[in-house]
Parts: sequence; structure tokens; C-alpha cells
Amino acid sequence: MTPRTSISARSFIIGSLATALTLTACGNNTQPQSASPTVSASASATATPTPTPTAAYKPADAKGKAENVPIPVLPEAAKANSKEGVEAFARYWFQALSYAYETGDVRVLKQTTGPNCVLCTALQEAITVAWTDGKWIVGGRIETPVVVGKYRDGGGSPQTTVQAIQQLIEIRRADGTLYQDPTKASNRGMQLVATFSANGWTVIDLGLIY
Amino acid sequence: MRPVRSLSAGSLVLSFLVAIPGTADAKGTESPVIIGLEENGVNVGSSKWIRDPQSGEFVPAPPNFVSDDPNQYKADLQCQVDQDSLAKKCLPGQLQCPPREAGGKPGTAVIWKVAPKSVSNPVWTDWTPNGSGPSCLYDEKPEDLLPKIAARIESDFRNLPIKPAELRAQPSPHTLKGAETNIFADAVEQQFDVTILGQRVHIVATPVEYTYAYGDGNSLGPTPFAGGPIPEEQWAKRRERAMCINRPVTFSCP
Repeated sequence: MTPRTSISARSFIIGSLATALTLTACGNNTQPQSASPTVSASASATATPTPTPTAAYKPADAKGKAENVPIPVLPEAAKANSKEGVEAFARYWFQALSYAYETGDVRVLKQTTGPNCVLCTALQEAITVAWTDGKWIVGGRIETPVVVGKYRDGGGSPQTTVQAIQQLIEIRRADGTLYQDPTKASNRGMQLVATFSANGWTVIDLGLIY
Repeated sequence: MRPVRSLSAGSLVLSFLVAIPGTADAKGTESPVIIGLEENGVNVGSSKWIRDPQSGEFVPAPPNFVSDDPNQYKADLQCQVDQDSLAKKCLPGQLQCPPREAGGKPGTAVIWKVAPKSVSNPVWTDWTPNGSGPSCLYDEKPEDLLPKIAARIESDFRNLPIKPAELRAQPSPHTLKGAETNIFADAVEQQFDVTILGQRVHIVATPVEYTYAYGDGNSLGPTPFAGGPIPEEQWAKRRERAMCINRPVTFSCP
């Protein structure tokens, strides 16, 4: 039996296909060099009570995990419900995220992160997965050279604009081999939304700025 | 509300299979991990922010927002240490940029820098799209070149041999009168290397929206969803929920 009638796919046309362009390279790239970002580590501007390190900090490399990574400590300034307070808190929160990348320990980060922050949760899960089965992360440190808070008295949850610069990230297997292709360094504007309660600041949303 | 009409050949249902970004497979220890901060921001469907042109403040982006390049770029001389001085030690090892054609001007060794547009007085980092290191710029004023390329890129892009999306139907090539038909677009990312104003430019063309014209004056879209193939046992099922998000006037929605 033949179909009595048919709608041929030919009668449908695709009208338009809009396209996004990405400009990704210019000129000659003839001299490869390190792909790490050029930003160096800098201490927080405010007086941060950093614990006295008992042994020297050593970043991770292909041979082993980072050693003696200083645990971020919430600065006094970050406990204030003010513009300066939320800015100090945002800097601290990214330090805690950076610490999680370097150590696989997301507990510090969790303490100041709300459960509904989609990106925060995804990052915690990704870091945890990257550190399973004896794997470790090389790089991934985050610097926040620019932090600008928007705070209004009694005006809801303040938003903070953060420039987050992250180093190239390698995931190394227990035997030191690369688990996957390295993730490129990034330099991105991000928006962090925090809320203040009796327990201090908590991140309730985080997203990229386009 | 628009009246519901039906096509003479029977009703059709479009399928829009929305891909849900996969979280890492707990068991598959060898599955790749989306690990980067920016990478996760792009992939997990978290909030997106844009600068409101009126207030100048950052506000959540609308749902169908198609992102522009969030970055700004500049070219620094390879051996420049600050605005006024060059590192003399760097000069002997500097990338050589001889003229590209006889009688042409030599180029300048530069390092491209990138920073987010959204941040005032940002810190610039080396831009490393494909490898890194210095490149040659063949223009007297390097900083003027990128806007020129940007201005040219749309017209040049239209002349590229871009393969159009193909229309697929399930079942195919014929569908039954009165039966459901799954229609979707099959479009792929395409890459081109072109030369614009003497600079080699790598273009990645990514399909971002689709418009379906049904040939009877009706159309659907633009929509960000291409749809996709579905298992044969599901061909007969209507996928009404997804369809009604887009409310095409030709089709009946519950």
C-alpha cells in the first residue's frame, strides 16, 4: 500500500541561518611561549589575617599537588553590611574558590555559598570530580584585580562586579599524566550577588557578564 | 489569540530537543571535566549579565540573548615595558616581521592583550587563542586595525562558502497524511581562514538561530533550537510541550 499523500521534506525550507562570528586569531604565531596569564599573585589590599605559614607554599606541578596552600580567612572588613564589606567578601569568596581549585577542598567555599547559586554548585562539583581517584589540579589560581560593589542601604542584595583572571588548568592523573587537554587561562568580568544575614554574607548568584 | 489552522496535508509537529548540558558522569572516570571558571559559566546555564545601556548597571540578560564578544583587545609592542620605554634585552630576540611583498612595509612585532569589556581599568592578560607569543602586525597604527577588521568582517563573511543547514524529517523522505512528522535542522559549526587587511583571520561560524518556512506563507522562528532526531518508536508521539513554547500559529496546542 502506498501512502495516499505525502508531505515531502522538500516543501520545507530553512529560511535563514543566523551566524555568530568569532574572531580568533590575527597574524603570525611563530614563537610559542608559555600560555599562563601574566598576572602575578597579589595580597588582598585590606589587612587580611593570614595564618603564619609553617612551611613554604609550593604550587602544584606535573609531579605533585600544591603544598601548604594558605587557607583563606574571612577578613574583618568582609563582615560589614556595607559597600566595602561586600567588596571584601567578594575578594574572599574568590580566594576560597581559588583555594578549592588548588586543594580540592570545597568546604571553605561552601560555608559562604548558597544552595541556589547554579554556577557555584557546578564549580564545586567539577572541582570535586577533578580531584577524585588521586587526580590533582595544576594551575587554576584566580586573581581578582578589580572588584566594584553596588550597595544601596536597604536596597536588596548587592551586586559586585569582579574581574576574575584564572590561570591555565591542567588535571593530572595519579601517575602524573594529563587527564584531558589543559583548559585555557581566562580573563572575565563576573557578577556576584550576595545577601547579608546574621551569619554574614552568602553568595546567592554568580554569572558571566557579556 | 490566533485561530488554529491546519495544513491541508494534516498536522505536523516540530520537535525541539533541548540539549541539557551533561554533568560529569559519576562512573565514567575518563569523561572530560568542564573545569574552568569561565567555561562553567558558559556551560551550566547560570545567570548571564549585560550592561543596561540606559542605567549603565548590570542586569540579567533576556532569555534569548545572543552573546556578543565580551572582550576588548589591544596590541602591545613585543618589547614594550611601559608606555615610554622598550626592554633593550628583549629587542635582539624580537620576532622579525619583514615585508610580506616586495616594496611593502615591514610589520611590527606585537603581543595581543585581552580584557573584559565590562570592567573599568581592567588588568590585561596575554591573548592566547591558538598558542601564544608575539605576532606581526602590518599596519602603522596597530590599535586601529582591529576595528577595521571588525568592520570588514561581516561583509567578508557573507562571501564565504558557508554550507547551509540541511532540513531533515522523520520519517523520510515521505511522511504519512495525518501522521506526526519530526522536522529539524542539521547545521554544523564551520571554520574558515581568511586574510583581511593583510592579517590572517580565523573565523568560526556557529549556527545560533533557525527560521523554518513551511512554503504556505507560515513560518516559525527565529528560534535558538534546531530540533534533533528522535528514536523511531517516538516518531508517532507529539512533542507538544516543547512545541508550544514557540507557539507556531499553524499547529494546535493543548
